[in-house]
Amino acid sequence: MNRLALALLLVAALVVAGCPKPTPTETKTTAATPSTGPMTLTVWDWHAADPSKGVGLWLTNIDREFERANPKVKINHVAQSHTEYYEIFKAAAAAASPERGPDVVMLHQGSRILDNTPSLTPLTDYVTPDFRKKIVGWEVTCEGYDPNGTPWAVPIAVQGLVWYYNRTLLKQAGLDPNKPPTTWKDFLAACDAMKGVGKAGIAVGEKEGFWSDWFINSAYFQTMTPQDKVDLVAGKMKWTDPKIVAILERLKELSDRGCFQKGAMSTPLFPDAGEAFMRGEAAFFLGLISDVAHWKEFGEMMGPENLGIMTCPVFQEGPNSTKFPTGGAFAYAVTKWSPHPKEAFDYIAFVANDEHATTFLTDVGSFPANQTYDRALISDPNAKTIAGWLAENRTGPQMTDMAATEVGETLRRECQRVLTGQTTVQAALAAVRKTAEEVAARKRAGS
Amino acid sequence: MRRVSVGTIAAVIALVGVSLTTIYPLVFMLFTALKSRREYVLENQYGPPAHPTLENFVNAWVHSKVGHYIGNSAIVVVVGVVVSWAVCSLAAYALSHMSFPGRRGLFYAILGSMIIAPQVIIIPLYTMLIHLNLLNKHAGLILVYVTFATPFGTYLLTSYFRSVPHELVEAAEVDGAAPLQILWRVMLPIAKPALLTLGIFNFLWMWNELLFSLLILQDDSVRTLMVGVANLRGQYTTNIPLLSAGLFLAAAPVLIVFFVFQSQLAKGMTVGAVK
Amino acid sequence: MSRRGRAALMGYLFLTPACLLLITFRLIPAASAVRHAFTEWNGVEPPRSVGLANFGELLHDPIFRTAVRNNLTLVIAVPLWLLVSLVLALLIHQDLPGSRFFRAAFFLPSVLSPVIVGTLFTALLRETGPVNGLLKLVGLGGLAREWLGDPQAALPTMVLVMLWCVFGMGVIVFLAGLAAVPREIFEAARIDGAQGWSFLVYIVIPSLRYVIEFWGVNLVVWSFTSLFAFVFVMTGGGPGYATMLVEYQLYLQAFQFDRMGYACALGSALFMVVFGIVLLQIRLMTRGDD
Repeated sequence: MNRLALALLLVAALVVAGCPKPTPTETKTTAATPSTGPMTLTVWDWHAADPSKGVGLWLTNIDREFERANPKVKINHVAQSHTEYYEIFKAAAAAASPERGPDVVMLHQGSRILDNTPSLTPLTDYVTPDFRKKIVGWEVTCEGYDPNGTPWAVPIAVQGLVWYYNRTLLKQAGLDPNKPPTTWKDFLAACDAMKGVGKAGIAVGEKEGFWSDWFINSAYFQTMTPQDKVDLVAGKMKWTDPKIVAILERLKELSDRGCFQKGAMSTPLFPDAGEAFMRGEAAFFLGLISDVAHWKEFGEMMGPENLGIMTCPVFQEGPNSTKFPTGGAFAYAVTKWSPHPKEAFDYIAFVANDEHATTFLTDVGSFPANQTYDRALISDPNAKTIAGWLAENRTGPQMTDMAATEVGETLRRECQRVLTGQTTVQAALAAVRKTAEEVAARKRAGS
Repeated sequence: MRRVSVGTIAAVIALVGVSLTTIYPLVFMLFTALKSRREYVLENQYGPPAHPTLENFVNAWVHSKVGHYIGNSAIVVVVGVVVSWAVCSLAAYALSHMSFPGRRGLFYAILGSMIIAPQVIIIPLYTMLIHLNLLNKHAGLILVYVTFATPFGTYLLTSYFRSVPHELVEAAEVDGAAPLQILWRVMLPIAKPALLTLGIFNFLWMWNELLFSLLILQDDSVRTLMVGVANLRGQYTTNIPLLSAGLFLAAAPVLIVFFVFQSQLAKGMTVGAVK
Repeated sequence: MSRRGRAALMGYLFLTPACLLLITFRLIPAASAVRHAFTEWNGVEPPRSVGLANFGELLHDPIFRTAVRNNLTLVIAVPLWLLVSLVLALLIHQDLPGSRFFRAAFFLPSVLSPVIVGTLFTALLRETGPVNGLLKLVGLGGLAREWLGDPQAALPTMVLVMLWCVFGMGVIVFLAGLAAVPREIFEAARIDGAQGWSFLVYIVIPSLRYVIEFWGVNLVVWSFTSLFAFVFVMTGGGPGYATMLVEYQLYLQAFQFDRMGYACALGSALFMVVFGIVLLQIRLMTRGDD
């Protein structure tokens, strides 16, 4: 038994080394106190885990600043795992009371907010017209996907989808890095040229079906009008509409023609596909403008001078064909059970204020939803291009964010089946349409 | 001196082959943990690290708060393993060597409770813990862990106890020993390999369990190690070398415990064998 | 009280801690789940009773059908998982040189959490990764494929990765079982000339019957209720629905689509299917018992 004893001793030693001060279990006991007394605001997010850099550091600094400005309020920032976030949130919501559960929660844009409104406080009384005006992305945090509807969350970061390309590889294949292929015909030719020099056209990660989703979002401006999108959500336009068929046909064309890198179907979009692009295995990458898989990460790894940026290659000319989709990357909401909704909103407004919008761009390297940031502070050439596009309003909402989660899931899986030859574009969209109709029928039955 | 036969050599070669498949991925993980993200992403994904660095281990230690959380994990797991031993041996002894009406039915009921998919009981279980005032308490997580280990552990021990001849129990009864004494003095020493096996299994899954830990322990001061490591994944699992380092740190205590238990296990197998 | 009555009381007493725990933390929550199977419920707002509608939908749900088919494929693989562990345990049990090393090496995969297993194998099984590299090296380049991205190959690949994850645990379980078998039985059989297959079928399997039954049942239950994390990290149930399992569909319905009621119906159906298989399995293994 000596070794066992030794092991137990070891574990005990680790315990002692691990917790120099045994902290008592601290539960939120301040909840019942009136708003004027000292209080603790519990904030949940999936970014706070790493307080040493990026969004985590930015938020930690903001918490301390907020506490200095509001000495009676203590911020209890709880880092939650991103993967299990909504399971934990659902359980907390099912049994929440003012004494328990977070006051402020980070949520993804779109259906994640609007499907969870039973657990949230409407922010109508707090969001002033001025505040509304300087922040973008309300269309994915407000009732009915209407930017002027009841606000359920405040967008903090802006996300968007743009196409990145590797200038060095384009040069290698005999193409002009200053004139990226903007038409569909040129784009296909460029992919062929890359194959000619032993590289792939596009770095694609389709393991989760996300790439198809992104492609559809990036390309839908060419065939669909803004009204079409509204009709689609309302069920007036069908998923089997020729305008949507056309987009999926292009997706299939890219795959059939061999534009994807090898093993695209089992490659995770994050981080593997982006890494393949950074390694120079493929010339193009449909990426983000904030957070990861974006200009900052690519610039650091590849050198900003080797990176180019463009919008979706155009297969169908139209007034909006060079737009790119944007939406809130993440947003903060106040929970329904929070005993301090006003202070909770004050905290969110503090996070979203002008000064923090600027530090979000300069320190984190992501685009803030608050548009009052100082554009002069941007030094990265690609970020400058994006900021310019944002300023000239070359953006539109994403298409699939507004679909119910279940419809999006079906769409992604059916796209995977199209790309692996298990189904046709028509049959795939028929399946998506069926899901959309079932979801709508259930909604009607429920209300 | 044993004669070395062709069969033995073939068997050893097969065993070596299988061992390679289990060791290689671990080596790959260690290599990855020793690379900078730059080296892993841009230059060298599969080979040994060209510029080994401990940076990932340092960062993982700091960011996943290993030092902060490891004590909580140790408390939960050690208490969980011990309580599970007690609960399961009692139940298994009753099911294998005691007679009473409804024994078979109870056995199937316990077995059946193993099949419940955790996803459907998350919300009611959470509500139950609130009613019992066990949220944010190690005791809450320990009880949930022990419960989840009970069907498996009871079944495992029952299947071992059953192979112990009932005559041994009867002999002890004739000597006037109470059931608890028989369990302690007769059954458990014989079943030491099974107990150690159960201990290893429980230690492992309790150490690695994430969902219930996240759910039940929401205050930072009580959280377990895997929660910290899981947070290294971030939103998009961007930094594989960092994650590898974190998982390596998390796995280290388990490996230590296994190697200690394993020598016990080996001893138990020769000493404790039924003659 | 009679001696019999006292003994029976003792039996119930011994079972009390286990039963109390199971009732509080498993059965009462499970009963709540069964109740909700007859409702449309998003987990937050009050549930709305819909009678048997969820079960009716289940019968016509093509994804559920695919998921059940995939799950049954995994169950068919269970004997393979059992056999591999059993044979390796026997080899180690014979005190071959390096037995302790092998036992430790086989155990390594069990230490890894599903997250790292998934991440590892995603990298190793990549089309340009080392597995295909090795195949090409030994002249089997024709077999190289996109293991997890090919709808035909994805599920069999998952079966093999699962095997990799659990065979070490099986070895430990069987070794502990073998320790309880008197060595004389094996030696006598050897002297009688029992070799290879007949040794396995007539000597080993009968001696380890209860342990094999236990591990087999455990693997079946495991394949139905504990693969979520692997699927989540490795394939997400795809491509398409190629690796969709009931458990994964249940998670999607409960936490992605906010259909807790339907998920509870799925969970209830899953329970009945698995319990049926397990009972059948135990019947087969304990034929001729009391």
